[in-house]
Amino acid sequence: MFKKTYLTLLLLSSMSLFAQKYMTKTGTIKFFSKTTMEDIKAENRKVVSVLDSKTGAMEFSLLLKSFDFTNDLMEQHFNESYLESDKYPKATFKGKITDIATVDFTKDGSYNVNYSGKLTIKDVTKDITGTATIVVKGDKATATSKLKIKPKDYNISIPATAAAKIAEVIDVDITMDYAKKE
Amino acid sequence: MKKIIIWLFVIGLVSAIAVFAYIKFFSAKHADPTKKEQIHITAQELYRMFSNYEDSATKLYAVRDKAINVSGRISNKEILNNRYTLSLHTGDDMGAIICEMDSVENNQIEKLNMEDSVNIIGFCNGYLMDVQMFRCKLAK
Repeated sequence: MFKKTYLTLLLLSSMSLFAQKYMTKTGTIKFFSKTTMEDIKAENRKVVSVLDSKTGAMEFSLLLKSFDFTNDLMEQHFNESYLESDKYPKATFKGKITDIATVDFTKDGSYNVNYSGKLTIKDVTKDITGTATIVVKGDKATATSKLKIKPKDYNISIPATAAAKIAEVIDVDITMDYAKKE
Repeated sequence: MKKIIIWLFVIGLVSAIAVFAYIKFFSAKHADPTKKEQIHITAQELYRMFSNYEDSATKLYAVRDKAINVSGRISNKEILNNRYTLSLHTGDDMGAIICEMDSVENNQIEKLNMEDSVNIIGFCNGYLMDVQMFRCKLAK
């Protein structure tokens, strides 16, 4: 009960600032692993993210089990063997768009920005930086970015028998379809 | 010697075809939640369990060997990339049961209206402001 009350208070306190906040519960993160042996791809279409258009603060959170694979066997290996999704059910990013002032949220257009922050997977937190494009259209803003992630950086161990099928560097595509919160 | 080589070639070819067929026709499929053992629960109760006892609810409901058969009223219906998402009321304005539906259900879902009562069977992925379910089908 305390947890629920705390979450409610946290969200309510954020609500007072919602005039400058953009939010989505349908952000998409896709990843691709390409090797000569096998291509693996998966998509999570239920990523929750908040962007503060004034400060540039940005967070997203996702459930690892919401990654949709092309077949159950890949999904089972991902959740049970590699990501241990029962033990570590979520991945999070907390960071900031460092040049948010260059984005005019009152004017439709496409803006290139830089960001930095901390990505946490399997309780391992790493600093990451990258570039993103924010497309503003009315009360909506779509942020897209591409990342490269090394599984071993996040304590994701791949057994030798599967190592040839999983790339050492995974390509990640991020799309956040934000809507302004009044 | 020549016969042995021919036999080895035939065995190799048959094995390759069998592996290809397995990958193509069996492993590529997703488990059908309607064929799994089901946990029957109301949307209200499922949300209450996750919002109050997230860790234990995750262990109990966010599993793949059982599907969730959740009953409730539709609070939102939207379609994106030919895939419907139905949200169910939970009695709490802070969150919903978000059900990403299997596209084979599209024709049935088109007929549904807000506030309609439904039973949805799918796999639960856990809790992130809302309870997330995917590969969902309407209970017949």
